[in-house]
Amino acid sequence: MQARFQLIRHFTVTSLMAFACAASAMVYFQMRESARSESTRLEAFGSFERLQADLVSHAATALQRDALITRQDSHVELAQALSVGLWDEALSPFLAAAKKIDFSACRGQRQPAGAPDNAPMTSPTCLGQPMARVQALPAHATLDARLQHALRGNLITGVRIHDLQGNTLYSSDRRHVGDNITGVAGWAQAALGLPSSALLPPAAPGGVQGADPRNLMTSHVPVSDPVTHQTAAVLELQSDVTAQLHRVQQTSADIRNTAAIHLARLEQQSLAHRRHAQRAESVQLMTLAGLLALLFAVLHAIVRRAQGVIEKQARESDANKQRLAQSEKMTSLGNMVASVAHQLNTPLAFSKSNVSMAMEALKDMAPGIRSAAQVLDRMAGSADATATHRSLDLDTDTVRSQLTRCPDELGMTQDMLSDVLTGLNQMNEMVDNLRSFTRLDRSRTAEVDLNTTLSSVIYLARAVISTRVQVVQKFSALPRLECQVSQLNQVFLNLIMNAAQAIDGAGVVTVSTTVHGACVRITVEDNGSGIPDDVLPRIFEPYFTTKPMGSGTGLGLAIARDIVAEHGGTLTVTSQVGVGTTFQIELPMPTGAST
Amino acid sequence: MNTRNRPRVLCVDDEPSVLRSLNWLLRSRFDVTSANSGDEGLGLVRHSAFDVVISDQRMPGMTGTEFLERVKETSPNTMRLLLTGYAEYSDVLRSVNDSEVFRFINKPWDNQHLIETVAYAAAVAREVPLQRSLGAASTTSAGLETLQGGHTEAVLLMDEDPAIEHQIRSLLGEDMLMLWARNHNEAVSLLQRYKVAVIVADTGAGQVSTVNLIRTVKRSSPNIVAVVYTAERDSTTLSRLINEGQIFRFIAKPAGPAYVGRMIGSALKKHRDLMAQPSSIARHAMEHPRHLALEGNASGWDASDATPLGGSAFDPLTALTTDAPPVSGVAWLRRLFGKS
Repeated sequence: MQARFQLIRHFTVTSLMAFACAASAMVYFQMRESARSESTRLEAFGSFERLQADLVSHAATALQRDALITRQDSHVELAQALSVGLWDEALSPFLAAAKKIDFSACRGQRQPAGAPDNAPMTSPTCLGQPMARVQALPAHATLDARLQHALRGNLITGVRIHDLQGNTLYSSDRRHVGDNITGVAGWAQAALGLPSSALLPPAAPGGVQGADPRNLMTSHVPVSDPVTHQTAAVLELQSDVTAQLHRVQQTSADIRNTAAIHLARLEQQSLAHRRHAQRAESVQLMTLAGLLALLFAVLHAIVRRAQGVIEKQARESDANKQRLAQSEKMTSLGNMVASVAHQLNTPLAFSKSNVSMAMEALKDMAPGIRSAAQVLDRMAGSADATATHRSLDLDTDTVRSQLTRCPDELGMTQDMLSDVLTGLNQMNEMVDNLRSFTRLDRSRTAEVDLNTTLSSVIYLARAVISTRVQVVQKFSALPRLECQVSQLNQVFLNLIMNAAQAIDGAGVVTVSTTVHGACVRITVEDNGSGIPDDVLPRIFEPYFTTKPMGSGTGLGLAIARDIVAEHGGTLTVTSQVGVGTTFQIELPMPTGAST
Repeated sequence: MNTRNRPRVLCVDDEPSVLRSLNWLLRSRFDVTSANSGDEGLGLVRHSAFDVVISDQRMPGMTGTEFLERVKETSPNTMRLLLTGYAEYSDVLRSVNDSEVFRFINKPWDNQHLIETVAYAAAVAREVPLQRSLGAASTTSAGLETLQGGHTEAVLLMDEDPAIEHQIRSLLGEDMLMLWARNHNEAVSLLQRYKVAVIVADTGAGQVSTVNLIRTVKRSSPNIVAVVYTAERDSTTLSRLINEGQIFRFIAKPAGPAYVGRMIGSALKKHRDLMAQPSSIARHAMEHPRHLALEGNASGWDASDATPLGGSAFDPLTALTTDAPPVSGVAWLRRLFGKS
């Protein structure tokens, strides 16, 4: 029993381990998948962000460029319009006049190494003279007036005219007249006939010229002689683009903001998606866990059932085995009893025969001895006889005293032999009962009077149970029943022995038979200790025993009930603690049987 | 009684005490000889004639049934008694079919009963010697086919199983009259109408009434030979069938047709022998049942209402036996032969 395979425990441990493995694998993969999708999302988001930023910066650059190009174009157009419009009236005379003034005196001084290209001349010491002369020119005034007039209401903040040597001939800001700008890239290009523009960064605050926070754009446009179509001078226009740049910057900022808003919305959406996905995942995991639990429960139920079936079968097979073993035990015991009976029959035969014959012989001898004693008695009465006896050489007195004792001794011997015969008959009865109990030389089923077999069983039981327990039989006439006699004998013996064992000390076991309706009823009743109510329902279970460990298999009553059931009968029990127990067997009578 | 004329009895047992006891018991009336084994007994039987042989069943070497079978061959006239402490089924079977014992006696025996049985057997052996032509050896080896053609002889089968009826009918063939009774009442009416030679009967488990029927039939018509054909393996019932029913053969179901045929053939032969020498019926006289009180005689087939069966042969014997139930073998013999 203890080595029996614990299927349910085994199943529980194994399947829980397998389920745990499966669940953890699933959770692991799920988590990895989740992390992967998160990183993909972040990566996609990041690249999108970069693209957006790139786009925004490109847009800003493009905007600025467009604005500047527009301004440059307008500068060029204006410059050309000015140069064309002013050429005849003002510009040509001014240039012609200015050509005559020599600026070369100051050239060496004016190019200090490392000076910025477009840095205006701050010390016009050597240029003072030519500048003054230029300004003094009448054409200058005309030009100035015309330019001032033309540029009024325009965005142009400053106009300069340079000759092809880089000398500033005219400047709306008088301070710069006479400046040589040969180092300025725009001028150099314009001198070759190509207009060019440059954006001056806002002057640093606290700069030399005072704070000029404006973004200025300077364009150098070549002025060509309408007649010769040769570049005659370079017109420099300067305009304030701060507002434009500001607008451009605002627009870029707008775009950037919009992009950021979009990005944020996208991120929010993505996050929402992610949360949704996570929720879906957790729901999925929960469902999966639930399914696994359901699967486990179903399997567990199946296994539990199987375990139950297996245990039941094992119990049944155990019971069968025990029963077989018991029946084998009984058979081998029966064989032994039968051979002992055979062995006993032979000595019983000649002993009984001899004792009977001896008794017969003594009975035959008795009259002779008695008469002999009488004869001697009579002879003792006459003195003559003594003489006669002397001649026979017979000690009459001794013989007579022996003979007178003889009738008594004869009777005593006969009594002794009679007791011996009684003893032998008892042995014979015991042997017969043993043989009829085992019934090995009889057929398995037979039609018998149960009263006869019960008597035999009671006879044997008396030999085993305590002498203080009295077995009373109350039999009424029974019809003959066809049954497996030796099996029923075992049941009867079992019940009678149990009843006797239930009695502590002196008591009575009553075995009674009655015909009850269509049944033969056999009751075995004791006035013993009784069976407690909590034990009573279990006494027919296999292996249930109240006897101390090792003294009973607990199979007795279970087998007894089986045997009675095989005969189509019932074995029931009623018991009351302190009063006694009654076992009752009811066996169906064959139809038509009668007492 | 003069010593020379006293019946000669041979006792065989491996237990000396039993031999001595039997000697003491029987020597007043019989000339008793003892032997320690079957071989020794056979030697004695070969050299001198014995009226009765009593043998134990369980002996080292030759068993009792073997010994008695040899005695039957050597000295058919000798009456054979088997004395046993524990009857195994196979032993009892052999004692019927092979040894053809007269009685089957259980140990321990009842002195008076044993003496009476031996005395009866001895008287039969003396008064009804077997004729030479009716040797027992010929009885056993009779074939069924040699006996066919006697339409006056009927075989009565008492068995509920139609398969057995079919088997016996095909064995007997067309020439023999075969009667089939499924129950006792049918059997009785058939016995009254026909001249039955052989009864083949099944004794179901504990069917006391079948034993009683055979007994009653045998009592009214001792020349009817009884064969029991049954699946029952109860040696006690079987020994009762020998002692009280004087069955001639016992066939254990299931049996092959050849064997059954041989058995029924020898039964028919026996019947003819009995008809030819009516006095030899005494060799098969039944014992009065001693267990009547124990067994309970519920059957209607009892001595009290046994009627003379019409059509039965050998009326003098029938008349003699049906007058009153025989008390013992000796009393029966006494009536048969006037006085002993």
